[in-house]
Amino acid sequence: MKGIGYLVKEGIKNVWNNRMMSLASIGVLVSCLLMTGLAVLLSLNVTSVVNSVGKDNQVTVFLNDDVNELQAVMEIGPELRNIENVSECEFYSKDEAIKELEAELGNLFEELQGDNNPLPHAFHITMENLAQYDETVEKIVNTQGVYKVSDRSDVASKLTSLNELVTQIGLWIVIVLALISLFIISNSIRMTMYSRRFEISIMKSVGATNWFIRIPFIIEGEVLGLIAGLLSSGIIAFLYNGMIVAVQYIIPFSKINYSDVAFQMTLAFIVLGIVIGAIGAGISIGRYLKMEGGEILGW
Amino acid sequence: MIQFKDVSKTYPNGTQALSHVNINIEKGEFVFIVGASGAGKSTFLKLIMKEEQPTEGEIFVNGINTTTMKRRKVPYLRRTMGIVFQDFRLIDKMTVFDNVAFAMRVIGARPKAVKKRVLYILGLVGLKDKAKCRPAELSGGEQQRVSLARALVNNPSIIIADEPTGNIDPEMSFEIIELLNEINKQGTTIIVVTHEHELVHKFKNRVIEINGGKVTADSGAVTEKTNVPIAIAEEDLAVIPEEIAEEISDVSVDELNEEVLKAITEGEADDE
Repeated sequence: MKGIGYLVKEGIKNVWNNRMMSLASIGVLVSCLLMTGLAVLLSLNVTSVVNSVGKDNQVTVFLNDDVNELQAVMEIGPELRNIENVSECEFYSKDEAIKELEAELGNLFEELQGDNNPLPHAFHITMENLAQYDETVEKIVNTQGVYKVSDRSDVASKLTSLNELVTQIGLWIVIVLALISLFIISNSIRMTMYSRRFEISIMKSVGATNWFIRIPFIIEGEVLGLIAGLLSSGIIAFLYNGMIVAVQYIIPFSKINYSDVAFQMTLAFIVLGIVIGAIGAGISIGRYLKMEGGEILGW
Repeated sequence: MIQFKDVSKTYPNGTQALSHVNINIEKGEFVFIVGASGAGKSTFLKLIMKEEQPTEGEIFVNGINTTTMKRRKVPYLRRTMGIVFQDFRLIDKMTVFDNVAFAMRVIGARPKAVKKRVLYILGLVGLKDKAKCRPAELSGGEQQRVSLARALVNNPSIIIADEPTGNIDPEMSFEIIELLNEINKQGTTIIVVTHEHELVHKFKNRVIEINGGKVTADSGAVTEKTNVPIAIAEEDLAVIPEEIAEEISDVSVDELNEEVLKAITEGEADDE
């Protein structure tokens, strides 16, 4: 299209000409993007905590009484390791078990050493993903030689549902804030359009196409979004690092380092800012483009 | 050039602005549209510009039935017209040059073509020295001439002027109509809506009277104009300011026009 340079220049000029309104829009957009960013980071941290707790969370797999140590290590062990979602599988012999009990409860178990040991051999298994707890346990139970699995499903399901809850809340926060941002940007562009309704009516009367009228306003929205996106990605790094230090001082946990997600966050902020800016502007301009002559001027 | 075939227009609130109007305006005519307030004159212009759609009948502009024209084609129809408003509709923050250039820029003309054409047109309307002024620094008559320059700059085949003399003193009014007469002599069709009878009587052009939404009188096409006073010397109209002449001396006015038209056509092709 001819005159694209003129249109881009006009769009950028609009931002400056309406600088107070632009500043207000950028301010609100930055706040929304920051809250969105923090919601995402919170969700990532909860996922990280759940995963680290999940890793510590082992289940104990008890074997049948007739399974001897050799069978357990050579046959059942490899079979258990091959099950999907099993990340670690450690043999736990009945001798170790009775020794541990003895250490805890004293010589009560002295007579139960060696051949009199009634305990079965066992494995300590760590799962990769607690959300697949039930399926994995079923596969383990169906393995030949396995007697039962210690039931930790309540812990698994609680951690999983907490993670899902935080992710869902985060998603809703993102949606609500995106809508608020859209509303703010479209209002800001509407103000620009109102102040330029005169020009729009002249543009229409001399035969400017709707796209020619639309583009400067869309560029204005995109510029506002871009500036807000860049500012947000700078501010959130400081904000997050400060907050994480404060929280970790109270409750130490396995956190997400901002530097690990900085690139994705910056990119997301810029893309989100530009997209919201363009859509917001598009919403506002549509109304004006349907009007003709004096209607645009409110006559 | 412009043909109304049994055109009626009723607004959604029930107001009947035009009723079974039949008008035929030939290429190169100069027509005054007169009538009382609320007679339907403005609706007549809006229908030509396709700002409004007739409730009944058909309208042809340059041989094209605009009644059935697609919305996206309307901008291209308007590029064949130049509109002059009673309130000038100039953009205060822009200079005279930019106000005129604006009409070319928004249809995608090249910056080089814009510069040459705008300076030429400003010379034509006698505002060669005011290019850098803001509208507020000009008199009413001068502002209307800027508005006229803006209407002319895209080389339209029709000029539509809605009460162009409504906001200026009588002396300036004659000047504006004289200018329109000069433009008309070059073959441009001119339609002027006015309620100033003195102007209509002075310039012997075709007069169509609209009252109560109907054509109540039509003087018919004027074949020979006998009274066209030229207050602005022809050489003054045509002369391009010296400093500008130097810049464009190697290009004739026709070439300039061609260049602009090419830019416009290319713009149209791109937009399509």
